[in-house]
Amino acid sequence: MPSSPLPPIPGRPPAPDRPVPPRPAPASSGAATVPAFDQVSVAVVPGADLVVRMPGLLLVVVPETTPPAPRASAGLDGWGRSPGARHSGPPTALGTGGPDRLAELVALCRKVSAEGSRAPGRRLQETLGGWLDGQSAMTSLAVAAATEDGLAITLVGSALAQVPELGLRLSADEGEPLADGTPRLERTVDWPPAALRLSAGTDPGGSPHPLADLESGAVPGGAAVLSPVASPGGTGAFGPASTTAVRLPPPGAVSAPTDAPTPPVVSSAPPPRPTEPSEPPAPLPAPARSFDLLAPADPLPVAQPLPVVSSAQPVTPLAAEETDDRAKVHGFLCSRGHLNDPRVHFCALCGIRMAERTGVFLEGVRPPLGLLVFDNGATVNLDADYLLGREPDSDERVLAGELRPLLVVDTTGGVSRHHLEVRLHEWDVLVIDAGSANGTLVAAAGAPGWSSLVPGQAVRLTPGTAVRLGGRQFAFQSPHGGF
Amino acid sequence: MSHPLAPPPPAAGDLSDRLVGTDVWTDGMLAEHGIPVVDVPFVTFGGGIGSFVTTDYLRICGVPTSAIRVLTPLDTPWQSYEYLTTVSQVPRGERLRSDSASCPDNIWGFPSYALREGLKGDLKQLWNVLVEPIWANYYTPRAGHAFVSMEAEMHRIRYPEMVVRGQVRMVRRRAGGGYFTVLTPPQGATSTRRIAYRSQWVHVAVGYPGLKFLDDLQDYRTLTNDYASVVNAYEPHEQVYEKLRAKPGVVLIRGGGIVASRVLQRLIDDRDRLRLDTQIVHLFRTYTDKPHGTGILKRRKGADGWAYQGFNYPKSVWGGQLKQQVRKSEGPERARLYKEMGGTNTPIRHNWQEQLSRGRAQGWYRVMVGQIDRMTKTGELVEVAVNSDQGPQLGSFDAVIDCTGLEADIREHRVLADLLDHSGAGRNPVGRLDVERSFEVRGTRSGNGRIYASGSATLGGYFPGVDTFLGLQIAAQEIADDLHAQGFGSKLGPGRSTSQWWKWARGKQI
Repeated sequence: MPSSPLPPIPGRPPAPDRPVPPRPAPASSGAATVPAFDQVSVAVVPGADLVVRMPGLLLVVVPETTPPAPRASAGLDGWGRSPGARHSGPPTALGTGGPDRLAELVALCRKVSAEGSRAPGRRLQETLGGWLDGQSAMTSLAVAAATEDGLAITLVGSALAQVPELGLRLSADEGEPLADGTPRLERTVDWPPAALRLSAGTDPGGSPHPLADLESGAVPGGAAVLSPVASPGGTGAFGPASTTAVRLPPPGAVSAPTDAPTPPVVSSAPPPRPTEPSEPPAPLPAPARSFDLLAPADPLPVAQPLPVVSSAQPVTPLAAEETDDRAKVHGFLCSRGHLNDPRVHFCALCGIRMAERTGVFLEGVRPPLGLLVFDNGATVNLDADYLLGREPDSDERVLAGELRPLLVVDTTGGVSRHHLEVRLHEWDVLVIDAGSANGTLVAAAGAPGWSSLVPGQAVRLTPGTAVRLGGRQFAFQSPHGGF
Repeated sequence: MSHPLAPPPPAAGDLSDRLVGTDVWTDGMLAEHGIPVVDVPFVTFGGGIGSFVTTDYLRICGVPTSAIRVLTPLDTPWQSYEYLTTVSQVPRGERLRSDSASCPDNIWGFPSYALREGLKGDLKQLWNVLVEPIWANYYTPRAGHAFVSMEAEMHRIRYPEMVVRGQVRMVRRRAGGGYFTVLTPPQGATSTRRIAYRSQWVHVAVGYPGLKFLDDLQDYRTLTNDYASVVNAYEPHEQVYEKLRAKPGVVLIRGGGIVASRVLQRLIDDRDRLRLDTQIVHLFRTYTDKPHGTGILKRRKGADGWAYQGFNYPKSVWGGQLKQQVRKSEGPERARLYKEMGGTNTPIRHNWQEQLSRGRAQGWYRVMVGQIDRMTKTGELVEVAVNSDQGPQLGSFDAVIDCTGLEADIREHRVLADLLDHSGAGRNPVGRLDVERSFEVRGTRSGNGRIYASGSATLGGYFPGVDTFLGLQIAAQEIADDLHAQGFGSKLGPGRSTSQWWKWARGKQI
């Protein structure tokens, strides 16, 4: 193996000869399997590390007989460390751990896998996190486990999770290190629409044999490639949304297909930092075209560039395996797995009563919070922050990709260049007058008259609120919140 | 290595897998888990109108507030009900489909809503109840009237003192008799994650298990990510009316029930008031063009596609032949009777009939018979392929409003599923929770304790109509009688009833 790290400590058997830890329990208990995750193939790239697959999770770990990468101390410079491993824990008390610790790790994974009802991901991350906190000089490892709406990824040491087709890459350096400084990253991510490559030590490179497929078990290997969710219409834990084509691309991508490789995978934290400078980062591709809400007589060309011309409701957590850059928000899941505003009593997506399940407050991709219905019938789906105006493209924040431009054409000339911001905050939709010349008027449903916005001051929209700027008007409607 | 493999121990006061897996709990098990136990004789949960009416009855029977706890996530008993009626186009000012004497705020049903409206000066309503249903349509109360009067009654019986906020996770039998009801209070409200209520009696009133939108609607949404043009009438869909206000459009309505009637009324009201050019196509699956019902005595009117019936249930379920028939029936026979009265129907209301006949005459209201094959998105429109009685048809619509509603299975409710799995509850011939004539959940008795249930979850029992205001009251009466027989509460004889009615009439707090 060309990229094999430091020579093994004398007295330790070379990696490939290591006894393979006991096979994980086969997917016997039906409850423990996660259909979508367990239906996709996992191809193993030859190598000296260990690849373990069991229901709902995939683990790649560097066997501890090859000592963990030592600190890049002066004396060890020039050993030709692989570029993937930037730094790692202190020169370890070599040999503490070893096969025992590895077996312990595998047993722990197996236990969580067997317990995890549908998706062991979050629980595994928690359990593993607790276990890792107690470890020192931890070997590199990468785990991907199914959650109800994506994958939970834990990386330790020099481990990497990459989606080469999309140029995405997560490394342990981006997370919170362990107590002894070993890098560690815990993330929940959407299931990428392309193959996910997990490696723990140095990735041997190359592609796996096209027919390679590990259904369950532990084998030596250098990296594991998890296919994207296979069949549209596939059934299972992910429901109908396990099709890969449910989410529309961000609007920028609509008119600019060249941006295709850039849409980043959404994660619980800020968008992943691209680690390879050659990759165009663009976490928030600035929309190439603004939307044109043109004259009332001509509504159709208007709506065309809109990403989702009308969609009051989310597919969110279900569709989460698609790439997208949407914000995360805390909410409750309904019993069918849809994320909802904590204040509602019925799921906005499927209608089930929220009381059917004990409220677990968790973070997920924020669904669109409603829509703006303009006076010409055009609708705008609220899945991002918008700047409305006559020339919204010229605003700095639009150029920076912070706000999405929404062109409002008004023949009366009453709309300013940068007129009104529509911002999403948690589960609320706020409007802020951006210092327009003629001001903005709002009227909540049932309010006796219009009131004008104070520039720079945010006002929360309730369903049915009408907003007037210049000669144009729109109403806010939402499946969430009050009625 | 000394690191234990076991996952971190559960937080103090939480359930464990072992506890969840045990059917009958002892006091010691809860103590071991650090779950605090609160003693109260009677616990009702759900906290909607079912809990409210039952509590009202017990309070009138002299049960003190300290002996009752209502475990609920709701702010007010009518919160869920008001949400559903509001989104399905019956806001406070519109009339419900409920009888005048079905008053959840008044167990005597006197004075009825119509009488109360009459006493306030609306004499037309008095005349209406006198001559209905022959010379007038049935009187029905306004939604707002029901909510406001319920609010007054809520304070009169000191209901808020009995409410504990939170979500009920499960009910389990207690070794030695009675039950534990496990409550999950709002996060951060208590020091432990769960609290157990130890009670001799438990009342389950969790309401409708929920809705299930039809598969073709869900498919359309999944494929197109368009959630605004194809909607169910039981979800907020104001955007449809808003869009029609902005530009003329064609709407497809599906379904032949009361909600379809209300949605049509809203569309046509908007059309008339704002002078819109809304075109409506109405799709019936079964087209009723003549009187319907089995047997000459069960005939009800039908015309123009609609099957008419004054209320959700034929009147005879409240005191007539049907009540007797169902009360004596078991198994498949009972399922058959429910099926007979369970068809979709809508009340006759003159204003609806006037609107629709005007629409038919002017050509903006058209009717089709058939079923939707598929829906696809074409630009801003929804293309709908219908397999109609005239062969396949294709049309493009600005919006599709689905006014059919499937109800979810009771197993979708976690507490009901837990009752089925761990506490010996079973299903009735219609598939819901099986209850005795006293509304005790069959098979769940624990020592001297009993579990009662009322509302929609018990549909299919010996008494039909349980999912109506009056049905909830009748259930409450049966439950209160059964509790009295066990020594809980006083009997509501003529003396108590009269004195309590006077207190009600004077609004005196009890």
